[in-house]
Amino acid sequence: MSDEQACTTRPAALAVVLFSAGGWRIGIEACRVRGSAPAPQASGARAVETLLGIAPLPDDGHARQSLRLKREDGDQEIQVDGPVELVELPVAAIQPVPPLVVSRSRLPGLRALVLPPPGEAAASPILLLDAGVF
Amino acid sequence: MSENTLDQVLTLRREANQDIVNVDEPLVKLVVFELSGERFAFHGERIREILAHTEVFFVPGCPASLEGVINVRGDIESVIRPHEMLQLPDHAAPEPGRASSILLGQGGGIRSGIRVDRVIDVMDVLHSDIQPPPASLPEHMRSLVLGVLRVGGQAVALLDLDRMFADYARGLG
Repeated sequence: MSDEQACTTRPAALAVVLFSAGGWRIGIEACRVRGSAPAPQASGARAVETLLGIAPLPDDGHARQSLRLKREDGDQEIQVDGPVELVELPVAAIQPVPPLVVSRSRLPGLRALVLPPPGEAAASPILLLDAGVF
Repeated sequence: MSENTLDQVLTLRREANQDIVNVDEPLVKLVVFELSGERFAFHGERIREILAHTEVFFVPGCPASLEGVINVRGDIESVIRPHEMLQLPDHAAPEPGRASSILLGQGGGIRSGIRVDRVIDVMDVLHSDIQPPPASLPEHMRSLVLGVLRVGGQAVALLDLDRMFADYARGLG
């Protein structure tokens, strides 16, 4: 099975690895992720917040996770906030980014959005990014 | 003095009626709204819906003039705040007792919500009521204003939604 095929686990779902960065919930296709583990203190992996240009949460000593991404030129590790989850997002919930957001957002690699169900006012959208941006 | 008979009167009236040419002037539907105390309008055909009490989700990396995204029956749409384009003060929180609205507009192949302070009216006006933009219009408004009219004694600027979306996509505002 190719990597692309592995992203679609069910006909109406997309396998996604979720993590956090700067308080935002971010997802990338699971087929682009080799694995994750607790990040060592002296890890040389770049922080996802730096790569995305978003402000990190205050450093309160919380544990970071290391995400290992598949790349043609060799795997790449990035540091993210947890929890790191593997979930299946219903295809119907995944929406393309509106054109004016595409035009004006400075968030690199933003491909799609998943909004929280109605009534979950405190929740924030899931930002689905192209793993190639890292 | 000759006296008219009723038949003559009715004949005259019939002939007079035949002289009346139907010159119904085309009506234009407008959505009139308020923004920072100023009144503006869009062509009604450009506004698909008027949404109230819609939850907006901010997306990181966007300018302050891009308020976020909303869920419109399963479709995600952006919401822009046009204040900066129009060089108006932007008070993000609505005045007490006044709920702001989102106009869901479509123009130039782009669909997006536009935050307005309040919707004044959805009305039909005569095409001739809309005057060309005055020469005194500020520079930043010239490309955005299609015309001006008076509604209830107040000046209303009719905005070009196609141009507004295109300019916003190009990074203006």
